[in-house]
Amino acid sequence: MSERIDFDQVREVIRIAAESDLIELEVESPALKVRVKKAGPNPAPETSASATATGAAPGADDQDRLETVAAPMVGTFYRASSPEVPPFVKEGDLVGEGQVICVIEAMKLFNEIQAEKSGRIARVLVDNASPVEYGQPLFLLDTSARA
Amino acid sequence: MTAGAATGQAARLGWPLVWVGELGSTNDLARLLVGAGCPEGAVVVADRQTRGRGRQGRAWASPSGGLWCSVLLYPSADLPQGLLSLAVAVAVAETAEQFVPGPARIRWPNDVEIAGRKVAGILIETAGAAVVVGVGINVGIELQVMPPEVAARAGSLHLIAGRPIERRAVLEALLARLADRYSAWAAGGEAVSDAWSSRDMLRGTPVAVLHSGPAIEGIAEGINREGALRIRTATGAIRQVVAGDVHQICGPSDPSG
Repeated sequence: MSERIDFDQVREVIRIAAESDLIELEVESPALKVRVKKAGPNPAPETSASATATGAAPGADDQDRLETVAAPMVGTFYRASSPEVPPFVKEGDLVGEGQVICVIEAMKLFNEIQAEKSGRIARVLVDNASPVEYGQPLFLLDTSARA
Repeated sequence: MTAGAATGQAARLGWPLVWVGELGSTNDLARLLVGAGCPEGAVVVADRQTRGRGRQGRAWASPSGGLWCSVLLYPSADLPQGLLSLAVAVAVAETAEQFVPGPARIRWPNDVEIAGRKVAGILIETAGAAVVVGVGINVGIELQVMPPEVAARAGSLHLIAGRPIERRAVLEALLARLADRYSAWAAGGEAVSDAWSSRDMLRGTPVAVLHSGPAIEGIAEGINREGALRIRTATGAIRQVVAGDVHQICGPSDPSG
């Protein structure tokens, strides 16, 4: 479907940007707007796709190793198990492998999503209660950080 | 990771059974049981829930007289879990029909309604390798104790049947139907899809799915293999919806619309 966001394309844009000398790259199509901007001397791509949250850039550091945590399924992204409790994680938090970092709901089944690696949550890329597609970047995780 | 994790074949559900007077939410206690290493088939029942919840943190009224329970499952990780949610709805619909006349129909994904009134709600959560299946059935609830906005479209089995119904009997029927549908789901799910589709109350009707962003409007056309709702939009394209609030909307031929 033409209206569908293609996250393979997003990843491709990020890859091209990461391997080039570009500082900033913006690609816009009717369904999608992607902006990739390198964060500092040791280029680590930071991304924002349409309808995702944007905020301050993560602190660039020579040791930063930012990895994208992608949605393993289609559904609704929730940062907390219910509206009245704090989010599982927030930017700056250290997480361990296997720690629950968000929930994705599909067919009224709430799937806990666990961190596959330990690190520091550098960036939360999606607003609470937003729909997410398979493979959509949810978090940037700085895997060089250790608890 | 869990010793004896079942694949769903010949699942026996109902042991151990923890039945308490009042709880925040049966799902929350069931999640603690997961952490304590409780086996597949464990069930938590509460007479009342003080923090029963539905989707998006909405409160689920859980006064005395309803069957509020959670069942612990350890399904194989490579099975399509969305369809499990629909399998539970089929089991709940089949359970209700053992106690009341009239067909129980399902509003995608898993609300169970009889004569246009919602009699059961389902909320499922994963907890590590476990799946906590929360089911609430209005067995013997006087609607005046419900919040007015809930009572307006809620039903209770005893009112439909015109006689008192034992919650224990409903629980036993539910566990038997659930074991059966869980096994069918684990075996491939086609029987589940067929059973669900025969109860699909939205098929062929105009619907709007509300989520963040513009609503998706069109005609409901059943489910796909994963259990997503198929909606044919005005352009003829099929949208596959896995989440959001589904509302039936009045068609142009409806004089009241």
